[in-house]
Amino acid sequence: MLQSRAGHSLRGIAERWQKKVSKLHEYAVVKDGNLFRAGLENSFLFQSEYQAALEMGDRLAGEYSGVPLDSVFSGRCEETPCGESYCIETYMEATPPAIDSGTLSESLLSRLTLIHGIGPAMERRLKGRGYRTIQDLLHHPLYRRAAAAILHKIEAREAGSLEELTRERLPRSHPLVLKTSLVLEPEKLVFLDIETLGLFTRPVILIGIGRMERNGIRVAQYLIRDPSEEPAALWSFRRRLEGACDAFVTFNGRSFDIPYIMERLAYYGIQAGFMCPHYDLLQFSRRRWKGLLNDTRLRTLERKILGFERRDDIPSQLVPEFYEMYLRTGNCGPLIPIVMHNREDIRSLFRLYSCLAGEDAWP
Amino acid sequence: MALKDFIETLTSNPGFSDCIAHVESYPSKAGVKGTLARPLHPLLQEYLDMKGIELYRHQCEAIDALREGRHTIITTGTASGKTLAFTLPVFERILDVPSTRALFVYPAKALANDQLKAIQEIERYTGCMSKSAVYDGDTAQSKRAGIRNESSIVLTNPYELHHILPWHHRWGNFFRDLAFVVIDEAHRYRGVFGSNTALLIRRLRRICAHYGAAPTFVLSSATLANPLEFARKLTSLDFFSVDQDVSPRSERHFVLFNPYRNGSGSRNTYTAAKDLLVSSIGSGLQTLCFTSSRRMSELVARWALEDAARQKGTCGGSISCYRAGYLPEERRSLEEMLKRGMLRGLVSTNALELGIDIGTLDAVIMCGFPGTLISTWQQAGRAGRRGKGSISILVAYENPLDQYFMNHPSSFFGRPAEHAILDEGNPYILSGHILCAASELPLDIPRDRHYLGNGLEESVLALAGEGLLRQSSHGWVYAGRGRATEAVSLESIASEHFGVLCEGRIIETMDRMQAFREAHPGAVLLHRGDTYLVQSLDLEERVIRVRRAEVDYHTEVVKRSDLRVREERERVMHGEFAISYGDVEVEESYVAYRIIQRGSVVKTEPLDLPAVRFETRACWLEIPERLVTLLIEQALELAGGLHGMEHAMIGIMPYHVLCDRWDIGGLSAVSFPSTRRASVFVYDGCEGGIGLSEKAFHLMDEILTSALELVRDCRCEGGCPSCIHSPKCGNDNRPLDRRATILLLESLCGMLSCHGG
Repeated sequence: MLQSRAGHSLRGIAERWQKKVSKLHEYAVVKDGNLFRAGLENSFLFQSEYQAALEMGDRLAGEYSGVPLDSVFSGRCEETPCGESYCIETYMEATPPAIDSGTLSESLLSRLTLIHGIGPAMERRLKGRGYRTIQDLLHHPLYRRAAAAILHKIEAREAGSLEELTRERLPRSHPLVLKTSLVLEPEKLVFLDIETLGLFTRPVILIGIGRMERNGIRVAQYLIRDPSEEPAALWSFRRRLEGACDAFVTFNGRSFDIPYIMERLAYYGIQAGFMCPHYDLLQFSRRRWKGLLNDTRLRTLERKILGFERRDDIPSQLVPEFYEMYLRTGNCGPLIPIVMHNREDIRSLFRLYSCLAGEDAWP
Repeated sequence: MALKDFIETLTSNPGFSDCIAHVESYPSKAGVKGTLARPLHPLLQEYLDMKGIELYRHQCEAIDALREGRHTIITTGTASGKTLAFTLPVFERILDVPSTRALFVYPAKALANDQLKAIQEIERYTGCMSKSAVYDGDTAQSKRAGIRNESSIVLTNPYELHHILPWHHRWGNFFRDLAFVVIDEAHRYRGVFGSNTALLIRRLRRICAHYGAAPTFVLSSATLANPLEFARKLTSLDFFSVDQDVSPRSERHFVLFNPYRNGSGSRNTYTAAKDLLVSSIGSGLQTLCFTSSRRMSELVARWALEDAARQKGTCGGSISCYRAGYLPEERRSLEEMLKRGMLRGLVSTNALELGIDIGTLDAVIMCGFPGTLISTWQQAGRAGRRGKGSISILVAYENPLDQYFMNHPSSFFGRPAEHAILDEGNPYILSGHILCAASELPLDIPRDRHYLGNGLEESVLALAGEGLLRQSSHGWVYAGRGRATEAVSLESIASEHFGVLCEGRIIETMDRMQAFREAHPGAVLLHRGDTYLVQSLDLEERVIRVRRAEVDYHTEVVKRSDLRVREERERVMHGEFAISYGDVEVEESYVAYRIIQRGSVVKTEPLDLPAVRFETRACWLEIPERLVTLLIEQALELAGGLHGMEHAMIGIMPYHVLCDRWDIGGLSAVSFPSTRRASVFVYDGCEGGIGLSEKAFHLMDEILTSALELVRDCRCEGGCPSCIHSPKCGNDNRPLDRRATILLLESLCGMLSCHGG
């Protein structure tokens, strides 16, 4: 019934769609900032940045013409039921955070509002009547039972349930929420950042995960050398985290990275299989530096808070364009800044985490 | 008896009776009650008892079919209880199996909101915790997850569904338990919008299958000539049809009123409508009058008030004009005044079809045929209160279709409705949805052929050639730069969009052809009943600048067409008379436009627009040599005959297939290059075609017969706007030869009947 029509040039039609679809590129990834449509209109990219980035693309394409991908990244292939994935592993020096998790329990215990039914006003009243900690409430006729349950949770020091509890009962960006991550072994935190071909419903290009190791971070990046490798990369990513991931640390991952990966896994019908606490540093940064910074883009935080500036970086918005340049020409030059950009993002994620979680109290 | 008085006035007053072409009267009839195969869930039965509702036979048929999981299309008339017929089985299932989910799709947001109220009433009464909710662009972000996870019935529109599908994993539980999909107002899904929706529904079915669900589909529609065919086209499923309406009816009269009965007289459609309105109200009938534009509504209301004041009648001050865009409180006060009977007459654009609850009145007057029989019966349905008689009057325009109905009442009353047409195979539309489908789940060609057609592989390869699709171990993956659903609009074909800009705001978008036709510089553009004057059409920026203007004229663009046959697909011979169907390439030039005031052309202005070239489908007739000779022997003009035939066929097409005159184009030639014969073409006016000429190919004997009746039975001498003159003719309606047209049509109809259809 739906036969094709010889009278219509399917190629001509495909060309028209390509033209139409490529005009939609103002909806490119805006990694730092509001990801949803409202925010897309003001995706900031200056002409000079754009120009500089294109020049860098051209320069790299020239330098790497004819150079095989493997000799540039020296990654290694991993076998999966969905085919081969390609993983680039690197180690970066970085100072681990000086973190003291000892005070966490104390801080939590003094938050009576963690108990369902106690709001700030009730908390003040209870404290006035001498109930200073959750332990004190074990003797309260009304809150006795609830207090026991919460106390049990706090003493168990299980990140998942603590994160859930604090997120439910405190503002989501409250420092205590982030601090629940301190009960974890630092090596079990997964710093995650992905690069994609667009905003949802398109392939992932690169999945980067970082973990603390000795005095630095071990970064594994799954590079999708061809979109056909995406399911394999997702599979490897999932396999790598199985039983070895206690929490995610991301920057805007709640709105972007995690839902994106979930969408892609569902797209290929691969079981997700990981449910763990997730600390999105964008939310905490917004609260921590509210009123002190004009915006809380990662680039701004690096400059103003972490005290460094990237060189030879490409704006996130241009990642899809660079990747397409690679796909079109087969020249791996334009992939270099994508891989570097992702690695830098993970390094910054780590530093930002150390900074936020390491501070005793936020203003 | 007010109704009797009014009918008496109509038939005795020569000012009216001379114009009456026909009165069709329907006596009141009792409804036929039905019984269900097994009793309804007790809570639902209690609800019906409380409301005093007894189910009619057609409702029972629908309920029983849906209980068995048969896909069902219900096409009974307005007020026949269609909504109840599909909501009851849905609720019954939810009451039995609380995890059941249902998706109700309405073509417009306002409709979904109206229906939610009715659904919530059942929920409240039965205590069914189905948490039904509307999910559309206006739904708060914070409520969305709750609706996805918990609402048993989700009400939405196709535009929203189009954007929901790529997020199916968030709707996983919903799709897994999806038992019913209701497509209400299904007749609206025709033409380009319908073809897009048909593919959207295939995408929905593909996602459901991915989650292991195969929901039962319900289509609720106005009466159609081809319910089963249409349902199959829209969903690619086989349906059970419920079309025998046995609900009770009060006495009704339908009057065909022709102000042009004796040629162009002193009255036109609007002045006649005004006289009828004043007289109807004078007889004590609460009356609703429909016009095509807000401007005309205002004029008719004003004239009627002036008349009434002169006659010192009782209706002065109680006639109002209604337009789209009233504030809710204005609307409510109007509804209230109508209900209390303080307002005796209301003049409205057909925008009233949506979103205002005025209940029913005693009389309806329609200025001109509203374009489709479906709209006609819907508008007429506004008259007729329970237990009281009602009257509807169609006041004709001078155009061929209106005049055809005036002269052939049996065609008007004898058939329920048109064929609803869509074409899910239009390659432009299809390829867009292939991209969308690939962005939802990787394409697996053997599996997805089932949804997206046998030509899937070729289309996929073409799209892959542009890098839009890429192959992976799991199938073809979408890899375009923008979001596929963003690139595909349900209301247009792949070509570029023009935005209509008024005071810095885009009020609507249209494709190039529509822009050239309706929004060329100088055009009067109608948008939701308001008139706008087009100031400029920027081809580079694709922006049409308009300003609001209350003008008392309208414009018609003049078009020239050229055509080349690319491939003939089907051909039937009736003796020497050949009818063909196939792919063509059309070039249309919009060369000028006419300014028309009170029905006559006051000026023609040239236009300077580039020609539009597109591939589409056409149906064509090759006239036997013998007939050409016959014409020449009788000293009739062949070119004028063919040209007249082309105009008559296009003028009558909307009677057979649901379409606008503009959706089809035509061409006639004394000797057409590729056929080397005298030929007449009708083609689909949009890229790729949407099945109109294909349908025309199959209905050719009916089209030719009605075209013959149209021209033969017209009272004019040598052709007029009521028969073979076309307002959009690029050759100034020259040459035209009415006698030659009649001879051609007569002979061709004769050949069809003697050689079989």
